[in-house]
Amino acid sequence: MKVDKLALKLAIILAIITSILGIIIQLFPFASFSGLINGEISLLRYNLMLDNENLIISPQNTIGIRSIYSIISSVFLLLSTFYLFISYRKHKNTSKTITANSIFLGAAFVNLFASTMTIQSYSWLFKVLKIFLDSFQGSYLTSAGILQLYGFKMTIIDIAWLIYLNVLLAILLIGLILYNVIKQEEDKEIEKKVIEIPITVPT
Amino acid sequence: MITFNFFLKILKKLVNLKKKGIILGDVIPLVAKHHNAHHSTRRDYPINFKVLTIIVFIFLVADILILLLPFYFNQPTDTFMMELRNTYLASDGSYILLNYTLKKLLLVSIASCILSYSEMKLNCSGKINGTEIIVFVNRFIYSYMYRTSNSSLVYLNLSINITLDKGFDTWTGSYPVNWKPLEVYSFNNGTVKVHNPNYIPFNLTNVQVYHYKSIYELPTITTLGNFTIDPNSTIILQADNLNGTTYIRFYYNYKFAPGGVVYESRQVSP
Repeated sequence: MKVDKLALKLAIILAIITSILGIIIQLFPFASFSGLINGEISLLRYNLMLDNENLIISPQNTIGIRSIYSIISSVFLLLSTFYLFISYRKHKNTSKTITANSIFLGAAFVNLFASTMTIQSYSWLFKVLKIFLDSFQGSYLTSAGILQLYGFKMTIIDIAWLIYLNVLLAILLIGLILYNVIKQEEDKEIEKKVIEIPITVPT
Repeated sequence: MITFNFFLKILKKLVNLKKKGIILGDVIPLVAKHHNAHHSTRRDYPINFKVLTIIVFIFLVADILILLLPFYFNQPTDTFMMELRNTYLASDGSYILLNYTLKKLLLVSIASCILSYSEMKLNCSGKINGTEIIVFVNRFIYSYMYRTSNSSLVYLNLSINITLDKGFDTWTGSYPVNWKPLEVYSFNNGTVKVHNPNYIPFNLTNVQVYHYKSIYELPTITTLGNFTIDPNSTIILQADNLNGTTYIRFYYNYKFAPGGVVYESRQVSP
């Protein structure tokens, strides 16, 4: 089986980029707080302090679990990429390369699931943060009068575009892998057709 | 658009390959059906569907399970609290006490404090004692209130701005001030106890002791003079001679009494 080397190289590069980007997205502290609340928030974990006490946004930390899934899928894609690379270098056109190809395609699909999940987690976290943090700013009417808290400063680095870029890269990666698969199949067909044509010797 | 075309092309090719039975499960390729010389096996495919299916299935199941996880978040309810437990104007009117229940908040200082009545506004001072604030009231405002009020019940307003460690609090409250006549209690041992329940001093004028030896004789009058009774304080007027019938009599100004003057005459003899 012939492999479109350029497509394969592109797929490997894309896989490495998208998996590293996937991990960065999960770990990157996109929101930092100072003032009444101090700390940082990333998709994987949050560390918010209020008056030297940890603020617990979600006891189950569902977004953290989702984030772990995304990191695992990214690491899996990265490992499958290395496996693919090594198997093409060492064992050309053997069952090992086929397995490596399959794992690679599987990992690419999984990475796409995880990337789309990240979009949901990110938008969810923003909604929840807004509701949660509104409790710490503004003024309240109490029996002691109008209580106005100093509030806090929130610095957000919007990583939504990075998440969407990662999804796009994941789709492109699958496209490239599928293209490679089809290309190999087509080449194989041509080879077979060449074998099939009977050699007619003029008598 | 380019991406779309690219995927459309791939899709067409996939459909084409499917029609030929190359992908999606045909174990023996078409070629092998026509040509026995070329014996193809599953390993000829560039993809091992078994491995692919297992990987995708495992992660897909995990994905679904994670998506099914309930998502709860804590609505912070008991973060900060500042409630006014009680507040009152001291019985002598010298201060106003504000007692708070605080949670995760500390009273730092009094940023501003204004006592007001009608058009008069007076800056006031105060001190913080733990969760309490004591606002000192300048007595001048009571004099003004008494002088200008048309009713015996008036309200003293307090506007206070408190600086907290994590914010500030603004409060406005009213405290009733009831202008009452003096409380006079007479005893048969020759004494009269006069209590001033108000926040301003009251003057007793022309305090006299009338002593009647008998009803046929004119009384002996002893003038005790004028007295000032401080806010929320009591004075005792004493008559010496208790033989016969003795009265202690005095006047004081009370603007809400008919005529604005109250005349008191109390028998203090047994």
